[in-house]
Amino acid sequence: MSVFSELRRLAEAPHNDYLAAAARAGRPVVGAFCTYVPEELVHAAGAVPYRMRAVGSSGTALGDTYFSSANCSFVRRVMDQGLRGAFDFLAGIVFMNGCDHNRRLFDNWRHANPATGFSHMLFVPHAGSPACLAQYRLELDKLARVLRERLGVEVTDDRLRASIALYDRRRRLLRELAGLRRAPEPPVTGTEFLALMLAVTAVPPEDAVELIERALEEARAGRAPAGTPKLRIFVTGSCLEELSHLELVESHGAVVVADAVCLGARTFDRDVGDAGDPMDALARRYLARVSCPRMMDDVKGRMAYTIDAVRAYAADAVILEKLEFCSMMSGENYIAGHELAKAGIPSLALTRELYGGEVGQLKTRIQAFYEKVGNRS
Amino acid sequence: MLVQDGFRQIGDVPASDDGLREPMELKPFEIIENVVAGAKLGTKVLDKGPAAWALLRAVQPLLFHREHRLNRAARFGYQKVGSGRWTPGELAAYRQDCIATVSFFQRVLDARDGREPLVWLGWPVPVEVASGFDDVAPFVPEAFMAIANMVGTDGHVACLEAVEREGIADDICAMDRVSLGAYLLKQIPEPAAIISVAHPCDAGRTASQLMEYLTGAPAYTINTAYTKEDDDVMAYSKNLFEAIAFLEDTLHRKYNWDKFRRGVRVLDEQNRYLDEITIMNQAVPSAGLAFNLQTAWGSKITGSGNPALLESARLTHKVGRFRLRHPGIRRRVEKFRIIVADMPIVFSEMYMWIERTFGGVVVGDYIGDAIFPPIDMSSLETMMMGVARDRLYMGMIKQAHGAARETVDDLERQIAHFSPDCVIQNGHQGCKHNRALGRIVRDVCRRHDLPLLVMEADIFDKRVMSETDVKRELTAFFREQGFAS
Repeated sequence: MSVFSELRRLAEAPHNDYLAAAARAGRPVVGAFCTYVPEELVHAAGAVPYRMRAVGSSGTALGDTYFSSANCSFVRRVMDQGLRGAFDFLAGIVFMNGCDHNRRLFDNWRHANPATGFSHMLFVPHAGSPACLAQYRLELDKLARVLRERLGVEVTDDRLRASIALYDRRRRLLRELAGLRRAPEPPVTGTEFLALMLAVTAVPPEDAVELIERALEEARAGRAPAGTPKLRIFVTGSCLEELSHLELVESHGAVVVADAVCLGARTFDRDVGDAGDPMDALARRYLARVSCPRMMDDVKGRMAYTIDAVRAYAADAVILEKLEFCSMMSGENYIAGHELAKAGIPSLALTRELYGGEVGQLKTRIQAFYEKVGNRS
Repeated sequence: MLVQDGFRQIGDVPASDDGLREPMELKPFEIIENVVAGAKLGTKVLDKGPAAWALLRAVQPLLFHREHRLNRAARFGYQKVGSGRWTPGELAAYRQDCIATVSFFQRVLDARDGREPLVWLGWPVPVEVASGFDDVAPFVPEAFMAIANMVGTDGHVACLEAVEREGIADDICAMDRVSLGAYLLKQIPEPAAIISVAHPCDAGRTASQLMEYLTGAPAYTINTAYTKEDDDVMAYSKNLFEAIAFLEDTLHRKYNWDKFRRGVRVLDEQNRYLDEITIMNQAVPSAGLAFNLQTAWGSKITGSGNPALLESARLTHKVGRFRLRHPGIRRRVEKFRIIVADMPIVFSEMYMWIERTFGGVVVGDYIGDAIFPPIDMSSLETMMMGVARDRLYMGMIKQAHGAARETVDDLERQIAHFSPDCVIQNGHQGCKHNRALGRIVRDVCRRHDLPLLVMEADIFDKRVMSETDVKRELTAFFREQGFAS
């Protein structure tokens, strides 16, 4: 069986055999909400870091008893899942102030108190100044203390270095696989890559590395699932986990060749490295990696990253993804639209609800956009 | 118009033409120029003591109930001076706010004319970061939202529509979109530098980035504290020092630390009065000064450290003491007591309307509640921490930053201290973190057996819910709960 089929199976369920095996071996699983939560720290405390998701969600009925209709569908769905017991395998969750919706997810989670162990809020600064770096470093110390208290494992420098080495390896492999998508016939579609990202952030990193290596092997063997695409697409956004949505984006002969999303480049951009104090190095990497709109002092950096990546991956156009009611992506997409136009790169801003359907409407917009871009070239 | 059984009853909302909106063409800087002119007029008129009071009472029928074409330019100013319900003492206090308003906005206009560089500050940024320079004009774009009514409530709509025309999504809080629109409509001058701030919400963070992008001005981002604990406040205050150093480098000017010290002393003294006024509202009957405190909140954003605001607080405090000594005066007014979270500011006279129509007195609210820790004056570092802490305790920031317990603890404290009969919470359309707290707030009110009204008006966008609709909803709630017949 192709590893990509296995990855898809892993991506489509909130829980999997790898997590069950880890639990049997006595390893707790700790959820994390954002790519600003250093998984290395959780791993060094003896746990399996698990990227929180709404995969498998059936609706928002229970989530809506906590959130309003003006809150994003990601938090409403995750809350709903939590209240239905989908995350009861967790020993704890590290929340993070990624946005107001996520910030309040922490509060509502604590208020509802589902059986998911401890809850900790990691406060991540919104800028990368020296004062912010010092502040973030202190927050990582606090997180290490909480993990020690809750899991009973001291995060020593040696343990942290070992975890960093493992995660750096995972990042390098992911970058290598992503790099193969530059080929005229990409060996991995955007949907497959997203499935891989969902899978490798839901299994122990040791297993993740093995899965990515198998994926690399298959990719290098000359597969080209979509042949030569009519259009090469770059995707930006924040929370994007619906395989069905990327399948829609990749309909009509288009293939997503690169991205700037949370379950994408933001996860594997740059290494921590092994120089100096490991906690300092961790803080530096996480504040310096390709940012998202929550980071207020890096608009230029994000725009430059997108335009450079569009050129490096020979993308024909950009799709700017946004979940309904995400204020931060609203501002970001306005700026990106203008900057891409200045650079002569066509873009389409799409607003959607997570697992919200709206297929017909989205399909029409995507199709019209592709026709416009196709006619241009 | 609310019609019940064919009869008009107490609290029935009169018909209004506030659905009749006309596109508004604004001349560049029209609103700020009107504000300066209005505040200058206020400074003169309010100096007349009882004569001013009598005049404001006499014009009440023309301005109190609703906005229409003939009164829209005057109604906002009228609301700012208590809608004809303030006493001469309160008017004297507000005269000081007019003085501070003139000094702030006149300087903005002077900077527009090139006399000195103008620095934009996000509204939760302590204004001291820029006001400590001798030759730099501070400006707070979001303060614009509080004055855009100067041309009627369509002033806000004009700004919002400018943003919509520009293609910026409307899920960003209207308060921030009004500021963006004001810039697009040339209502606010260009900045030489921008100091942004990372709290209290996504909308502020987004709007800051948009402002920086649109203006191209050099910018520094202040990261704030997530909690009010010492470590967090210390880190926040270090950001403030860095912001000042950034302005010194960018503008090639020296910061005047003596001016900073003087301003912080004034602030600390003003806070003591504001603390006591807040506590006076706890009395039964209350001192009835919630709207005055809300005014003080707005004035402090732009004028912290201005001695006129200290004098305003002192005079308001005097009014409160008088009322506590003569409780019979307020007993005649106060039929029931209300805690309000985030009343739509666009209809700024709502407290006076509730009081006059139903005898409901707002005793505590999110914005006006002014409980500030004293500032340690022993060093520049402790003073800067004091300023940082001051802004963390400021209304809207203190509830919106950090975890929900900041809001819930505050509500619990107000319920415990202010003896309310009901709670009104407004879930502004763009206020994502507040809209996510509905269940928690409901559970708090249920535990205390307090009726809760959750409205879905917007803070500055009257198109979401008009003044008539807000009044209708309040009327229905008060009747349903037996506060009005």
